[in-house]
Amino acid sequence: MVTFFAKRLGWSVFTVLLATVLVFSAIQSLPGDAATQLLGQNATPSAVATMRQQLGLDEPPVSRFFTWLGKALHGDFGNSLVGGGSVAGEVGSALVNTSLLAGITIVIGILLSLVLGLVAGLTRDRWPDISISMLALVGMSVPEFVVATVLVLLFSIYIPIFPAVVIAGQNASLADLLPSVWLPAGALICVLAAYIIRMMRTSVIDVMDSEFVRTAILKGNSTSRVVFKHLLPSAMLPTLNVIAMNIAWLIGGVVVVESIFNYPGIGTLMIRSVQTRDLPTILLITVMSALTYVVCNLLADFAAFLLNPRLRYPRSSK
Amino acid sequence: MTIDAADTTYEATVVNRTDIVRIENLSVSYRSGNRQVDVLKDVTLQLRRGHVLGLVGESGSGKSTLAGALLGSLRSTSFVSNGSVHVAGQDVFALAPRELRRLRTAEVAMVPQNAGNALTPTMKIGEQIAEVLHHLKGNKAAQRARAEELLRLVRLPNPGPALDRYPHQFSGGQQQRIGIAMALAANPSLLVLDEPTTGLDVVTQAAILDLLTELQKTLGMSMVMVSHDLGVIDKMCTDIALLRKGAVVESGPTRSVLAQPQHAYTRGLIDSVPRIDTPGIPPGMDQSAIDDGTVREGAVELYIRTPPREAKPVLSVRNLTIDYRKKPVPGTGPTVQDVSFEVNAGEIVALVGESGSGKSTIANAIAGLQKSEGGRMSLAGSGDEPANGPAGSGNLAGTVSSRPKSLRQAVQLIFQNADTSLNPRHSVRTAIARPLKLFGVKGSTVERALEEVELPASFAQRLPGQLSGGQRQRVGIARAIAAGPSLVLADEVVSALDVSVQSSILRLMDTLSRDKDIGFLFITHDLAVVRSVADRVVVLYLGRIVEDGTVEEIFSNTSHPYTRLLLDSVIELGDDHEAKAQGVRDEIPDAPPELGCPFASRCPIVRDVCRTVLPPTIQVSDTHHIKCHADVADLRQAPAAL
Repeated sequence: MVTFFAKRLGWSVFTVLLATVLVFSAIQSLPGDAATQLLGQNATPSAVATMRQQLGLDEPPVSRFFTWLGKALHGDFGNSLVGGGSVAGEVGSALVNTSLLAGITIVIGILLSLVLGLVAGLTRDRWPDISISMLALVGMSVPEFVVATVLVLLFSIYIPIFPAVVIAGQNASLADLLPSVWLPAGALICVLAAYIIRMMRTSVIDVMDSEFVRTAILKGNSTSRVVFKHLLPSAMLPTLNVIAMNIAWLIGGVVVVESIFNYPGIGTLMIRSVQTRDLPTILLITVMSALTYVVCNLLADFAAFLLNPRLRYPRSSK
Repeated sequence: MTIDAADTTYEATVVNRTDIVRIENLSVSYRSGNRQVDVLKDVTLQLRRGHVLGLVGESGSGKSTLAGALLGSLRSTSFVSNGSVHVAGQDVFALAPRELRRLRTAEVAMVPQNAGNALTPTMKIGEQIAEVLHHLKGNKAAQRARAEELLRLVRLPNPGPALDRYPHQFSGGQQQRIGIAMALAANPSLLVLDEPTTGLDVVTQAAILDLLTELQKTLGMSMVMVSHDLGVIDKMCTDIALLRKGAVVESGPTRSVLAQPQHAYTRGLIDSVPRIDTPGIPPGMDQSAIDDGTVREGAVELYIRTPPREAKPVLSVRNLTIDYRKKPVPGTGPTVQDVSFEVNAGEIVALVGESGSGKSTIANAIAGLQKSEGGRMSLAGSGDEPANGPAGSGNLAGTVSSRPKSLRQAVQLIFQNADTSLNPRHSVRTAIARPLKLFGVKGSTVERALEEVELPASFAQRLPGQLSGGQRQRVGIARAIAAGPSLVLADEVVSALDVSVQSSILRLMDTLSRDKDIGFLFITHDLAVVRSVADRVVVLYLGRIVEDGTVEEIFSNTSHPYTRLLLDSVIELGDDHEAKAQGVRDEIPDAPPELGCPFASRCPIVRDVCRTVLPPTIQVSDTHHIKCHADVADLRQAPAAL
């Protein structure tokens, strides 16, 4: 077990490193850099050169990457090329805001989709299943910005109970954000839930057909006992990975949804940093996204480990 | 009307006292489009308390549906279209869900066919047994004590610690014992067993059946036992009902029905079972004659196979060693050790042993799917090629990826489950054309290949899903034969088939081996099938050969104690089941011992020397070898395991 997780951890570190390398080179290959962005199109070549020297952009990319990496390992992610402030501070406060949004989305979204998926699977081909499956299909096919727009239309224009956009800026406190977090969370939940519902439904149906569930029913167990003790742990197993994948995907969805609602989180910061080629900020956001992805998958593996005794107690022989 | 009602009540009370099961005119159907298809047709059966009813039939006969109906359980698409099922005086299909649950917890319990699949993998077995103990609800300690007692009752080793383990940590035989313990937990008055020993080895099967007989007697239970195995039914059941296409064709007391079958189907079924005491392949079942109702008269005509006259080796395996262990484990030896045997052209050699004996491992090594650690395996030239020619001959030491095409062509496989080894989306033509094209086989076509396995050419168009089990297995054989092999590895090729189909597949193997001079290595645990078709037999135990010889020699009265155990464990129709010695209880160990005879831990005539020194080879005849420390005289009519 220890070796299993040590191996997994090693791969995770590698994944995060690879992600930073890829993003670093992607930014390098884009035309223009922070200096040209800051000075505008009409800047003289010498002004650009001076600016580059100031920002340290005249060093070769490889050495710049390793300088960055060395500092990053000590917790110093450098200063923003644009604002001049500490990247860690800026990304940190955005991350807190995004965590609020993501946290609400994940908790409500996963619970909701697991319950709906379970209900759909148990009532296979009857009306609850059909309506839930239809909804999930709609959730899958409609992009999040459309969902977001519809939600705004419904809940801030027709029935004005939630604010349509966040007016408070980057420095808003959590209390300021709380009323405005629900619509973006709603938009994200719709899309997140769709995949999990479908996966959960399929796996509940599979396990319902298994001999052990039939045996559990024939033993005279109550339906709730059959569902929660016999069926659920096995049905959850394949769903776990889909949940992990979807949480990781949430990071992408967050970018779109945050910018629609002007929510001061990682997504909004990301878009701004890409526009200004603010490499240190982008790199830190990348590291954070990669970390989220990796941690989600590790957690999924760990949950699978807890749910599946075959992983915990492998048969000794063969 | 009033009189009628009173009559029924009276009848119901009478039923309650004498009959545990009363099935009346039961029909179960499902809808397919606009059609109503009957799974069970007008079934009427009774079972008296304390009796054991055997439900016999082939796949699709509706026997499992009938077993499920006793617990009020049908497939979600099926429904009762007529009739009723009374268990312990209650109309099962008229019960409210709550009452049905009560019936299942108190009156009737089911032992599943494959406990490995029927035990919830994520729950400890103690908990799975405890949840049936409703009368002890809330009292954890009492539940635990009772669960442990039940495990002891079914003779599971170390019942206490076993409660905290998960199903996958037990062997197949142990899982089946747990399944039985779970069913017994509620003290049911009726136990329904759906093929309770089908997936098990003969030795384990004998032990489980002995256990069931004993439990049935001491607990005074009634049982309904579903099986396709007439020997098992004959041993276990007081009453028998034979089902064919959803209808009961014959029923009555087991002994008299099996001794003097009145229905053509019963006769045909009895005739098509191969026996360990008589050589020869039984005739296949003539379904149309059965439909006409003609009961065959006179003795059964068995087909006796003639072994090839000259010994021209195709496969030679010398001192093969295979080791699964990553690092040496003290006290254990390699998985397969020092295995040597030959297969001649046109010969059928059976590789026999319990699961865990290494027979599939050896076959995989020959096929190149498994790495071997030592020894030599070589294939002699096939057909017209010179014996040492480059094509079709060579060293089988490497795995498949390192073998030349000609060698891969020369060794072909047939699998146990044709339905899972054929791609369900590929037509029969695609499946058979593949080896023809891959190996550039000239002068053969898909139609020729189908003809050789006695299937019409029009079958090429079909998908595996449109074929019956036997037909699918024929396609599997055609696919292997199409490549033009000199050696075919046939792994349990008839185990999944009904007996009526079995014999025709065995006949086909016989024909192909003679006509095409193909050597067959036939892997099986079914000794009766071995007797009917094999020329020579190699008996394996824990990856070591304990005995080999011609089929007559193996089934003679001079045998290795392990072979004797296997033979004694076979349960056949018409045996004196009471008198038959009961088999050894303990199961095959997980790993072979490092020293001495592999069978020492279970051997009834074990001596000290057996545990430390490798047994010598006793040459009983030119062809018959036994590895044992005992004298030949001791092995002749050796005492059966006690």
